[in-house]
Amino acid sequence: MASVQFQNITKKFADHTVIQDFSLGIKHGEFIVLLGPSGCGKSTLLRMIAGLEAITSGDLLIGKHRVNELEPKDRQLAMVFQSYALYPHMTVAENIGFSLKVAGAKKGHRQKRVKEVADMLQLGDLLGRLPAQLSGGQRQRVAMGRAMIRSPRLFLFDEPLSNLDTKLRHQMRAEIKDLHSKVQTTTIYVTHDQVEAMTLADRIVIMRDGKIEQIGTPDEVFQKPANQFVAGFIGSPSMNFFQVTATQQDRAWLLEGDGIHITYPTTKPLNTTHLTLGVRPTDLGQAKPTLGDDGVGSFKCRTQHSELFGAEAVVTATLGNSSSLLYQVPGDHRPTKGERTEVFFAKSKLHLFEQQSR
Amino acid sequence: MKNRMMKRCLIKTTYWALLGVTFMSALIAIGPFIWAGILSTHDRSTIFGKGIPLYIGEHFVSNYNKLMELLPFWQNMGNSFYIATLGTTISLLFCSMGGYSFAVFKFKAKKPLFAMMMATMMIPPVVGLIPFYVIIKFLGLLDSHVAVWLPFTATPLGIFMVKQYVESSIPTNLLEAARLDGAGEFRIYWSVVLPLLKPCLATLGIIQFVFFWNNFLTPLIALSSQENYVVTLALRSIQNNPNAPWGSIMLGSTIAVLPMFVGYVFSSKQMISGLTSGAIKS
Repeated sequence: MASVQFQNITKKFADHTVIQDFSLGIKHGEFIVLLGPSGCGKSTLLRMIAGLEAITSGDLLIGKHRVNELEPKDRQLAMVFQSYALYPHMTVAENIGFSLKVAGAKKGHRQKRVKEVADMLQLGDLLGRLPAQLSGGQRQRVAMGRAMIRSPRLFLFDEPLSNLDTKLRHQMRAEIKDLHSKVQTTTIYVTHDQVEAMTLADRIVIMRDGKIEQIGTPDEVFQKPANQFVAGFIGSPSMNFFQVTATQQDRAWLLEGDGIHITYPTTKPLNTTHLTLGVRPTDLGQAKPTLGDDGVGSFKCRTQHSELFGAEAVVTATLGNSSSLLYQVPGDHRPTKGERTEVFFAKSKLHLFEQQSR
Repeated sequence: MKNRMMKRCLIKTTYWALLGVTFMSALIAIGPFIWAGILSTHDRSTIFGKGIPLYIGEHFVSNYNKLMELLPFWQNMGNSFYIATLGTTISLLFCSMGGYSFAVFKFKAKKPLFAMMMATMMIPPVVGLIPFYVIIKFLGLLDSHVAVWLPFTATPLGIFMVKQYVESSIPTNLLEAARLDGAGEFRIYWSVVLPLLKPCLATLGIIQFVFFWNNFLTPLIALSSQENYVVTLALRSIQNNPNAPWGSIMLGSTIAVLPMFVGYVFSSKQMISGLTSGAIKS
């Protein structure tokens, strides 16, 4: 186990800056998820920890030691690749035991460790098979076994579940979480899938264009997004955003926009008049929350269409003249096309962002 | 209707014409071998008598005895086999190392070096003969087998083939995974890359073995004693005789071709698939 410190890390490919002045501290045994859209630099960051990419400037500390110039093999960490990167000519047992073989471990010890790890990952019956003879989920487990066998200081996962189908992904997610709680090794996990991030992470680091947008627990980034980017990135379906004009009133702001007229109770002084109002589709409903009139607001909208996802349905409606509004309803309570409805929300669930934060 | 008939007629004519050309080409290619096989059963009088003898003669045994009398033939065959086997094995090692390095490592002047190496393929081998002789003389390798196989163990074609194969068929992640597993560069090459190069090396092995087996020019320059001769040189050496025993020479040639022929029968599929590998990304 080890802590990891990124101190003002910058990475450039020729003239192109991929990571800019990145600083982050990861504690012993923590499960950190780096989350962000494609090209935000999260995989590059992981590869820099692994030693597969050179760091342009800044310091990377694993434990108490600066590792910038350390060879990958000397960093004592294990990585699970998106493509699994299993050695195709080696059996499952040989794949898992390769690092021990390289380290010069005796055959008896190696076999014992391979057996232990394989049993932990339910691979005991597959040890003699080649990777080509395994299913996607089994390959994934072999890749994890290969990472686990060395008892590394740090686990790195680079989008390990992106090649699996939804059901298997769900199962593997649970297994990774389970594994982490068993071995308690510091883990850094890269993904662009917010569900993986929310379910696995102790803390999520949301990145965009090589910079940190927010660091927080899954609950924090969902409930209190730092900016509009984070708010839009986390949550499915994605948050509704509306441009509003705000005016200061006594102990409240009056928010007005296309089809929007809300008195937002707050004692904060208003810095800017142009704001973006955000509200999650899951925080909107046809039933009025029991909070008293001051705490509840509503939108009057016209239904365009609805999409059924089993128990729930997501309704797309028009608000005001042309604003689009998404909200979630129970699957059997879908409004019909063209129907005028009023959807309610608790004002405490509204998010306000300054417009330049996008 | 008329158009369709004409089209069909044209396709049929093209088909037969192509078949004819293929058949003729095959005949031209394998004709001399068959002829050599037939001539190995004849003596000088029937070979140089009236017409071309296209039937199996009666002098097979006497031709064989004569060949054994003139040459340490089986020793020469052994020399050829030894040189081809050793040369091929070492060249697979060197070419795989070279090709892998060019494909994976970043080093200074990599591109010009590779271009220079490829450019040497354009130089006719004969041009290098005198420098070759001077070098092996300087190294004291004259009349030794090392001089025949060692200079051809790192070939541009081989290095190029391996480079292409590594780039198209071995994912970088695999090498990175091995690096993280604690393997050093040689370990990665030996335990991860080399086993995966098998299809490519099989093809290259065939090409190199055929080259070493058929090589005549280098042994001609490097080897001087008959017991060191390879089979190509040995057979050539008895042709200078004014009464050259052509039946024996043909018999020797036919025997010399047989290992290649058998090898081809078993590995033609491998050879063709290896040569086209990397052309289509699977």
